[in-house]
Amino acid sequence: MKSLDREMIPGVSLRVIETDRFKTCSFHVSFLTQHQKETASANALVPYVLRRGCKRLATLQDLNSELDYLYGASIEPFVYKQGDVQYIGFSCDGIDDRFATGDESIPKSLFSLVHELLFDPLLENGAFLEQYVSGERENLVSMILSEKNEKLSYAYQQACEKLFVKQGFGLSAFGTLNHAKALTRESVFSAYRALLKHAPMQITYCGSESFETISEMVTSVFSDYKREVINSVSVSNPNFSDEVFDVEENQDMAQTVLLVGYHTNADEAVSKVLSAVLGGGTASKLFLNVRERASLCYYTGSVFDARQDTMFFYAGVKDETATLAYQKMTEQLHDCAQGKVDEEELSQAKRLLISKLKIIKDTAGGLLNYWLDRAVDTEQKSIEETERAIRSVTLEQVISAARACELKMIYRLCGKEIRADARKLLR
Amino acid sequence: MQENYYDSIGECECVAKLSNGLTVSVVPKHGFTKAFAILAVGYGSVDASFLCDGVSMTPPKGVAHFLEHKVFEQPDGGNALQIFAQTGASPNAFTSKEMTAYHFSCTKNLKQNLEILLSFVSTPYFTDENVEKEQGIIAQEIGMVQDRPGWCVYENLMQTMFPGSSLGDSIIGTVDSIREIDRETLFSCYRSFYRPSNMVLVVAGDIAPEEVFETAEQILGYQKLSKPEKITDLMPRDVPGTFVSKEMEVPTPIFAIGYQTAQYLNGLKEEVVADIALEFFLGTSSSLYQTLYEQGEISHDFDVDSLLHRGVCGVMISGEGKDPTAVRDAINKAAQNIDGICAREFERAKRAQYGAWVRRTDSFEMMCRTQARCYLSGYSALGFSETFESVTKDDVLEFLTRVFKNGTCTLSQVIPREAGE
Repeated sequence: MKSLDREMIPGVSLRVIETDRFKTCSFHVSFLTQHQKETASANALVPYVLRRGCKRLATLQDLNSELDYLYGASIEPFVYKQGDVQYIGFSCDGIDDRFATGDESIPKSLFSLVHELLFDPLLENGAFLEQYVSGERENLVSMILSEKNEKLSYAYQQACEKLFVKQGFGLSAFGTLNHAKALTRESVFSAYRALLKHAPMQITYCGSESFETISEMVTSVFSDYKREVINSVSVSNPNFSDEVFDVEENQDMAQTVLLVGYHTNADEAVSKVLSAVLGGGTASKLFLNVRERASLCYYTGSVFDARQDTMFFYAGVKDETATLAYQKMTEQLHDCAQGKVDEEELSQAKRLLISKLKIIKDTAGGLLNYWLDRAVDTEQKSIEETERAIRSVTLEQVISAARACELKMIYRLCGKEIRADARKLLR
Repeated sequence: MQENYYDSIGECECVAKLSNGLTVSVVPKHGFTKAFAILAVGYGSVDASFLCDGVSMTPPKGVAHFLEHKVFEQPDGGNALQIFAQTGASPNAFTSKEMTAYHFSCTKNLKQNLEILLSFVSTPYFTDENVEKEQGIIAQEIGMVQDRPGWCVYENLMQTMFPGSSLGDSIIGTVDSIREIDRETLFSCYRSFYRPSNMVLVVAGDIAPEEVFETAEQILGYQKLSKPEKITDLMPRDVPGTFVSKEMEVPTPIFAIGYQTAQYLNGLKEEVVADIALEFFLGTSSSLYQTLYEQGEISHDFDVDSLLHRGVCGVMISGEGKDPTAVRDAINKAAQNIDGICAREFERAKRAQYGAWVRRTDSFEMMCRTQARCYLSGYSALGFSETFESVTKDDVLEFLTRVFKNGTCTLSQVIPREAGE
């Protein structure tokens, strides 16, 4: 397996992961841009509007039929974020030519289709079609509203938003409801033009074709693409306020989602291991103590985000045991900081993380995501380098990272009829 | 041992039926670091009543799922999850309508992890104390799923579509039913279903098949016990309802529309025909999808799945939209007009689904899960290329007529709660 990257034409970078171990060819074509409230929703709508049709394939049905003939290949709008960088583009996927019975080149057809969608959109009076923009705006609004349906991810999103009010870290990849509602065909078209002109483009491919073949495809497909000044895009440093936030949000629900967020002040690999020791699986402190021993929840764990230097504990608990769960959860970090963590726990956490890293290499999606996440880094660490960094973490470093954690957020998403005593105990 | 080669997808499978009755399938994956194994038991929430060794039983609802939680506990007080943690494997388990499955993925020590898997599943340890503890954890799991509108819309659909049938029961049980479960219930159900003859082991990884067969025989034993007799009739006893609605805190209505019929042709061909038929009729390139999408009745969040259970064949269409009734009516109307399929449309749907099936074999998890499920029903899924070739337009038309024209339609919706309530 080879992984090579190069800037093809100014502002267009290509990474090719060349491997014949999968039955698929997959790639992403993304524009990278600084994630801000003012522009996020308009940017997010761009691929959805473009995906509705282009000059040659004017309707969804035309475009989807062509994809069906390519053995059910897919080109899907891709809206994602890493820290405060927004990715906007298309995620494409098809079976490898070896498994198709026809003689067409699936990756070549897909690159051409993406080019058509990007550069040959359907326009009326110098902007996108009203019908497509209004339909997709409704969908976007509904998508943002529906984030509430997944309680844990919604709670995490809200907690991050409250923590980083002035930065894009806590902002949904799709932007805000108010901005989404206000979008017009002109504002979305202008976001599209700005992306084409100024946003760096990242193409990441994983499949059996060589770097040379893919770079030829990309160069020939995008040869007429002339860029203007290309913005430089990178993840900002997170700013924490001195305050510890204590937030409660009520919904009509049966269970409380409890989140406890910390600012981690340690090296990335060390924080990752600390988070795994605390809540990285079924041998972690949170799972063993909050779920197995105290029987307080069905799910609990810890998630570390290297871009925003945070570690969040989470659990789904009964309203009336939220306080006890909070105490048990924070106790685990306290124990770590007191040195109540042993070599066996450390090795288990490392084994889990290393195993996850190794598994990345065995799926095309895993490889693509790994490199996409790193597209915003100046120094793009390979999977092997990341693994070495994790192996080198010591118990002393983990203990000292636990001591350095600062509590920043207690967030509860809970039912409306929570008892007053259960509510006040956390405060 | 039988070796099956599937050249069109570049896979090979070694299958054996062991002396103890266990079906084992090994898909060698040379050059991959990752391995995946699944041990599936033919016991799911639909097996509400059964006859085992001459004794008939109808335990409380949710036992199969409860067992799935408890089987991890070991007589030494430990838990299999922690044993796996020592080898670096990632274990998990799930219970569905028709099976309970235990699985792990790992990047090394495949044989050792297989031993752990087979050992813990064959070593039940239930005490009054650990059963009570689990009631607390499962009650929280029930609380978690009840807050998910997607789960509620599905549960309501199944209950309304299959009244009086265990297919309509929740896999997880209810807070009341799990309270009735005690260690004796667990032991009886465990002894009835956790028999090698009622189990399937599927492994994908870099390992010699013989090694898997020997390990499975050594740990599960050589004795062959008869399978339990599942006496549950999955057809609804009462007339299926046509509509069910619930209010929750959701921004947009969500829906699940079900069609069901008693005519079910068990086997791989039925699965393939169902997928092609649904792609043709409701796939993203169909006229019906195009119309519904353009009218704003559906969004990207739109899924179509077949519901194939023994003796019952159905379809579930789920999504989000302002007027679920309009979606149902449009589907019903289009269904009544199905009278033929043009060759080009048939080819389109077939190619799209063929690609989807090929892609699924790229995922170790998905391939092994599908194989386990299919082997429990008596067939293998890996030979799908040949099945695709055998499917005709008439097969697709027959499926659509059977399910959509002649089947029963049920709409389940979750709509936004009125303000002020």
